[in-house]
Amino acid sequence: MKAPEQFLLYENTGQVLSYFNECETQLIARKAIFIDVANITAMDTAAFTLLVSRAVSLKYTGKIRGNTPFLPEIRDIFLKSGFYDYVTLTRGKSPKADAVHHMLRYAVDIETSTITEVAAKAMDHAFGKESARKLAQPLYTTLLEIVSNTKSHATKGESSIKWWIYMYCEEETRTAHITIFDLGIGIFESVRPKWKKRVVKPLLGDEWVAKELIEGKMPSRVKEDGEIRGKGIPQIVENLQAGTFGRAYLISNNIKVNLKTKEIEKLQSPLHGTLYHFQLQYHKK
Amino acid sequence: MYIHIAKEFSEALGARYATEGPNSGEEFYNKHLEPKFKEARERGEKLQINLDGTWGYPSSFISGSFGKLSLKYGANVVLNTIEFMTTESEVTLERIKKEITSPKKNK
Repeated sequence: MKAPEQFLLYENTGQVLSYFNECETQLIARKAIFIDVANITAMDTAAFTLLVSRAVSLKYTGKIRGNTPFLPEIRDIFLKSGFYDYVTLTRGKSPKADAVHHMLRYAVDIETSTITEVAAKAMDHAFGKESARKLAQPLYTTLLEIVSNTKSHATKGESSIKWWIYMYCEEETRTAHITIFDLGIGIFESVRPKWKKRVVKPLLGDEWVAKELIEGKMPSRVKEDGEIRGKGIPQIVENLQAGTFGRAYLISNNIKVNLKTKEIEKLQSPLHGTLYHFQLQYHKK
Repeated sequence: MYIHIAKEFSEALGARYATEGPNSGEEFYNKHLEPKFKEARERGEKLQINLDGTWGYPSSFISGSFGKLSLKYGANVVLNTIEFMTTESEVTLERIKKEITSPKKNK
C-alpha cells in the first residue's frame, strides 16, 4: 500500500488518515500488506508514529512487509527508529534502533517512570543537562494528563487501553518532536453530554463539543467524581501555550485542533483513536 | 507540622486515583495530606507544605488530593490551615489554591 508522498499528518491530514484507515481495514481482514514508503518526500513524526502503532497494536507482526524511503534523511528516521522491529524489510537486514535520538514506548497503565524518562530526555536535548527541573513541569504534567485520559477512551468492557509515545530528537534544531497516541474510541465519542446538550450536540456538531472540551465544560463519560473531573484538557491546552512549545495539535475522531491557536477543523477521514503531537524546542536568545 | 511532597511522597506525581497508577492524588491524600491536616487542626497548628522538587502537579493529582480535602473540610478551613512553600512555581501554587477554592469545574 503506497504511502502518500506528503506524509504529513498536520498539513495533509485527509490523505494520511485515509491511508491508515485503509491499512487497518486490510490488517483486520488478515490480509498481508506491503507498506510502500519509498516515495515519501516529506514526513512528520506524528504520521510515522501512527504507522508503527498500527503495525504492533493489530498484532500482525510478520505479515507486514515494507521498503525504505528513497530520500536519505527520511530513510534515516525509519531505519533508526525501531520501525523495522515491527515491519519486515523486503531487502536487507533490520537495523538496530538509535536510542539516542529516537524513543518508542508503549504501555497500558500510567507509568510515571516512562513519563519522567521522556521528559528528562526531551529537556536534555532541547535545553541541556543542566536545565532546571521546573522548566520540565509543563511538559511532564502535559504528558501525565494525556496518558491518564487514555483510560476514558477504552471501549465498554475494556478496563484499560494501550498508549504509545514516540519522540524524535532532531539534532539540527534541538527540537524534541513528541507524539502520544491511543487506538481507543476517541475523545469525542467518549464524552457524555448532559441530557440538554444531547439535543444540541447533533445540531451544533463535534466542533462545538471540541470547544466545550477545551474550555473544561464537557463532562467525561466516567461517572465517578464527574463534577470535579474535566480539567485535564484545559490544563494541557494552557501548558502548551508556553514559549518552549512549538507546533501542538490534537486529532481525534473527525476533529483536528490546533492547540496553540485553538482553531478547530472537521475532518473528512476520521482518526479511530486520539493523537497529540507537540514540539519542545530551544530558542536562541 | 510539615510535608515536603517530593522528599516524603514522590518527585513524579501521578493521576487522580490509586487504581490509575503510582503516586496518585488519592494515595497522597490518604497517606500524608489528610492525616497531617487533621493532626495540625487538632493541635491548632499550621501545616506547611513544600511544593518544590517534583516534576510538576497534574490537575488530576491536585484535584484528587487538595480538591478532595477542600470538598470534605471546606475551602476556608483548608486555606487557613495550610501554608504552602515554593520557590519554583507560583503558577502551580495558584492552581492549587484555585482548586481548593473551586474544586468543582466550570458549568
